[in-house]
Amino acid sequence: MAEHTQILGSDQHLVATFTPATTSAPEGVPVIALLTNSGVIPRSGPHRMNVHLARRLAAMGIPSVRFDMSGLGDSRRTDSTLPVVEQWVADTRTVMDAAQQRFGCAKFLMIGFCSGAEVAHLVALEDPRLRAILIWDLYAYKSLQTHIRTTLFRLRRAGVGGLLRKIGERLAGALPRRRPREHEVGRAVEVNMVPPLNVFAQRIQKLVDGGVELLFVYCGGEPEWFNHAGQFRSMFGRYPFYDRLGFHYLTVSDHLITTAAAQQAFLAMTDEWIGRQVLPAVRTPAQPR
Amino acid sequence: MDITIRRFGRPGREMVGVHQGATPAGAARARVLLCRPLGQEGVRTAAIFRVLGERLAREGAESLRFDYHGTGDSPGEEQDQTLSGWIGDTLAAHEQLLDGREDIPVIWFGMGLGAALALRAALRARKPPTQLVLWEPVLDGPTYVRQLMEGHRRELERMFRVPWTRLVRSGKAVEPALPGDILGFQVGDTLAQELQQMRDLELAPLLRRGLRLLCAVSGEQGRALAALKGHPALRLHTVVQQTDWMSSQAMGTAVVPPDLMKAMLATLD
Repeated sequence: MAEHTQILGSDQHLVATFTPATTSAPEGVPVIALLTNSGVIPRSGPHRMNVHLARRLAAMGIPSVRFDMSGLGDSRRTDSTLPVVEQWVADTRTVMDAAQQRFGCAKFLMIGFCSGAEVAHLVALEDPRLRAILIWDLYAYKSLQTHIRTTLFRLRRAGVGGLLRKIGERLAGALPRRRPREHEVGRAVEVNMVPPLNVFAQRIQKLVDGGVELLFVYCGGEPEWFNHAGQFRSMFGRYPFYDRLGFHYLTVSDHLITTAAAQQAFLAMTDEWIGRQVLPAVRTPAQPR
Repeated sequence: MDITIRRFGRPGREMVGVHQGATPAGAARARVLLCRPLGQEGVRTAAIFRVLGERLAREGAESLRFDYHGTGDSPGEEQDQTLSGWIGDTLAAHEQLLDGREDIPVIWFGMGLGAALALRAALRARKPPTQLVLWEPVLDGPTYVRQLMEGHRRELERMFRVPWTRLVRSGKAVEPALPGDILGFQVGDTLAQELQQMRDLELAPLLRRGLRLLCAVSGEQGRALAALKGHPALRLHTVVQQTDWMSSQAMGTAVVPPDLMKAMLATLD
């Protein structure tokens, strides 16, 4: 497989690796996949997931480009004064232009991990070429059940001793705090400001109306963020677009898809989504947004 | 800042690297080969390598950072890799950086397992570097394997926020083993054996070859190198801030340790 890495962008600041398809369909390239950073992880992706995805997609007849956004991986910061997320949206569109030129296709799907998902949905709002997004661990909105489960999780984690200690702390005000153990230290979800639910819902509505395929996936490693499958319905069930969203709760996986079992489950889920939803969708004409 | 993509290595063992030219363009005062650590440590330290390349460029040094075959953005499968293969990759990257020009000093910088690979490659290099900077090198394989296993458990505990024993009981994790997947990366049979057989870092043969060495170690690692203390070509540095490079979370630590940058810039003088 002849991958090609190049530098692109008006400031020559972006580094991107293009992977051609290894099989071809009679109708030509159906869609190009965009793969990018998750937080500060380079373009190879969490545990090299973007490289694995690129190879599997190539075998499915889908070329891809994995790239570092400005200031991440090998891409340097640009001289632009745009806010960082706007710059990343612009970077993505620049890469789309280059990929379109290289592979001769104007339809894209994007697999966005965490902050990459934030960029992906913002790109899709601006650029009708982006026709499908896998949204990994993006914004979550808590329901009553989420709060109850979070409280139970905390109680279980603290144990009886920890619970009594916490009660004591509440009562006494300032008992010396013991240092938290590794598993008690929270992980900051690497997305920017979470928009209000109604704002995010408006964006989703716009994307769904425009025919964008959306698959929301949440990992099983965020017990205080997204902690049961029903939370997805509680977030979006009231909206008319709900039945048109894809959703998967990948409980075997942590946020960075660390274990082999999680990686296999993620890849199988992605293959299935692309085959069942994305490829049929990109073969139909885009709707105006 | 002038960067170009370099694709090199023999057929079937290609690698991708980023060459960063010195600024202003022209004759560089030094060439620096940047050898990454492997696996999760490679991911976590990616920013160090970009920032270091950019800083060196501003000081008039060109650099090449690269992904070994089967790692990062380079072709190849992780589970097929070996230490000897990566030592060969380091030598290929060195030749790529030299590009037939042998007129100015060449410095190698390696971190973690990348430092251990650089050291072994320097012993085999046709024209070795003038200086070698080993930052928190892997001193011996069995200890490194143990640290990987501990790092794997610690990372999953942190990610799921559940104690390890409960995580295993839930089926979300299994005890790490080699060969197998550690911290999200596949380690194959040969690499697993090589790591277990990798013994103490041998600096003396390099010193005999006339290289200057800077070895940055933690206090505990320093004791293992005490016998060489006082050698005029060896400088031991104690790392100021201990960082868990196997963790995906920075936990408030610096992206680039300040003493690392300072030490690297000092090698140019």
